[in-house]
Amino acid sequence: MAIAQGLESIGDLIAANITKIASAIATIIIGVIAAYVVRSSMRRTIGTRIPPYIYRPVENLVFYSILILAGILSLYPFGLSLSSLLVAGGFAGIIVGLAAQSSLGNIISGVFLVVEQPLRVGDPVMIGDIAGEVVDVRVLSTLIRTWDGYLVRIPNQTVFNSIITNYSRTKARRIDFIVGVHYKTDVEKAIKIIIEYLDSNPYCLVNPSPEVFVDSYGDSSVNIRIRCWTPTKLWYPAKIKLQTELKRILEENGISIPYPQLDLHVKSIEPVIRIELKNQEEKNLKR
Amino acid sequence: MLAGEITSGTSLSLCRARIIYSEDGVLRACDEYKCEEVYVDGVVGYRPAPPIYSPFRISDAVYIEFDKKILVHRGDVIWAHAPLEIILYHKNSILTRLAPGRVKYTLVGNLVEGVIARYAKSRVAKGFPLENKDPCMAHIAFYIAQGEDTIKGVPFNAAYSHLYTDNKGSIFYSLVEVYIKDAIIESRTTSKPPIEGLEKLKQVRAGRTGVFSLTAPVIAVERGWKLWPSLKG
Repeated sequence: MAIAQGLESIGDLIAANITKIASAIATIIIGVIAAYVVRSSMRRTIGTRIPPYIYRPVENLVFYSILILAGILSLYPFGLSLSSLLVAGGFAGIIVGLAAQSSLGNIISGVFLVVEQPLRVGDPVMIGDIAGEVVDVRVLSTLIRTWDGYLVRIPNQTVFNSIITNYSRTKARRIDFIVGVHYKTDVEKAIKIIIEYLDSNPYCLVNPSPEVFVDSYGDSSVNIRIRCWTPTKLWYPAKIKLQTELKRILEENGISIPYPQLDLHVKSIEPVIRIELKNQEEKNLKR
Repeated sequence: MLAGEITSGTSLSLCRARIIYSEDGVLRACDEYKCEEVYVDGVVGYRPAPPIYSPFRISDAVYIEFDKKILVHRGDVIWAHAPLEIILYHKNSILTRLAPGRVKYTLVGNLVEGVIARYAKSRVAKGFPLENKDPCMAHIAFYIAQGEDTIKGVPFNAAYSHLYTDNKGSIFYSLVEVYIKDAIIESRTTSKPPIEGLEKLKQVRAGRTGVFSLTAPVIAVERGWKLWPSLKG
C-alpha cells in the first residue's frame, strides 16, 4: 500500500515537471552530442598537426568540460543556478571530497602530469617497476603498454608519486655490457679489436666516444666492459646487434669467451691403484 | 658521377654500394648495411641525395668535423666535403636508398638539447673547393655570415639542401650560412649554389605532399661540442 502511494507520488512529481525533465534530458543529449562533435572535429583539424602528448590532454579537457557544462545547464530548469550550485557545492564538496578523495587526487595529479610532463604519449618509460610505452595520459589514470604487450592502467596519483625513468628525453643512450675473455688472451689486442669494431659500427656514436676497458678479473675470465652511446631510438636494435656481432668478431680473431671452468690439480695417486687399473685395462683388452 | 641509369642485365658499383639488375627484372641493391630486392620493369635511375635515410632515418642533420681547427672571419667561405646517399628510382617512385660509404653518427651539443647528426670528417680549406678523390662525397661551402673564431666543425640541416653539379660531374651542396655568436654556431641551409655556373640536380621527391618550405630551421649547438673527453686520445 505504502509502495503504491510512493509510486503514485513519484508519478505525480514527474507529470508536474515533465517539461523540465524533458528539457534537462535534451540539454544532456545535446551536450553529449556537442562533446563528441567537437572532439571529432578537433581530431580532424588539429589532432594530426600537434604532437599527441599536447593534443590528448587538450582533447580530454575540452571533452569533459563540455560534458560538465551540459550537466550544469541541465539543472537550470529546476531552478538550480551556478551560484546556488557553488553554495551547495560548499557542503557537498566536503562530503564528495571525502568520498572521492582518491579520485580527486588522481585528477589533480593528472593535471600536474600534463603541466610538468615527466612523460608524454609514445615515450618509453619505467614507472616504479612497470616498463613500457605511454599509450595515454587520461583524467584519472595513465595507460602503459608494457614491452610484453599488456595494457597497464596506473592511477595518476601513483604515477606522480613514483620514480619515473623516461628513456626518450635524451638524444643518446648508453649500451653497457661485459665480455669475458680467457686469461691467456692478449687483453690489449682484444680491446683494440673491440674498439675497431665499435668505430666501424654505425650504431655507436662518434661523440660521446665508446669506452672499452678491463673491468674486473673474474673466476674464469678477464672481464672487459664495453660502453657505446647510440641514438635513443636505436638503442634496442643496437644492443642486440653489438652483443651478437662482438662474439663472432672476437672468435674470428682467435679470442674465445670462456665458460666457467675448474682446474683440478691432483698432487699424488697411490701407485697400487694405478697398477690395478692398468691390469684391469689389460684384462679388458684381452677379452 | 653518381647520377645515371641502369638497365636490366647489368650491374653497377658505386663506392661501397652494389646494384645488380638481372634480366628477369629483379633489382638487387646492397650497401654495407642492407640488401633490398625489388621487381622492376624498365630503366632504373640513380641520383645522389643528402644523407638522411640510409641506413637509418634518425636525423636531418649532418655534422662535418674538420681535420684541423680553422680560424674564420666574417665573409670567409670555407670548403669541405660532405657525404651523400644514392636514391634508386623508377619514374617518380623511389625504390630504395643506399649508403655508398661507411656511416657514423654523432651527438652535437648536450644530451638533452643536442642533435644527433650524420658524421663525416673532412679536410677544410678557405676560398676554393678542395680536390675530391671520393666520388661519393660532395663539395660543401660554408659562408661565415657573422662572427669570427676558430671552429672545429659545422652542423647543417641536410634535408633542406639542394644539390648542384658542374660540367666535370662533381657534386656540390647548396651554400650553408654560418653564424658564430657568443658560444653558439648556427647554420642556415640555403638553396643557393655555392659558386656560379652550376646546374641544379633534379630531386626525386616522390611521396612528399604539401608545401616544401625553403626556409631551413637553424641548428644551434654549443661550440665546445665535445662534452665527453675521448678515451681514445
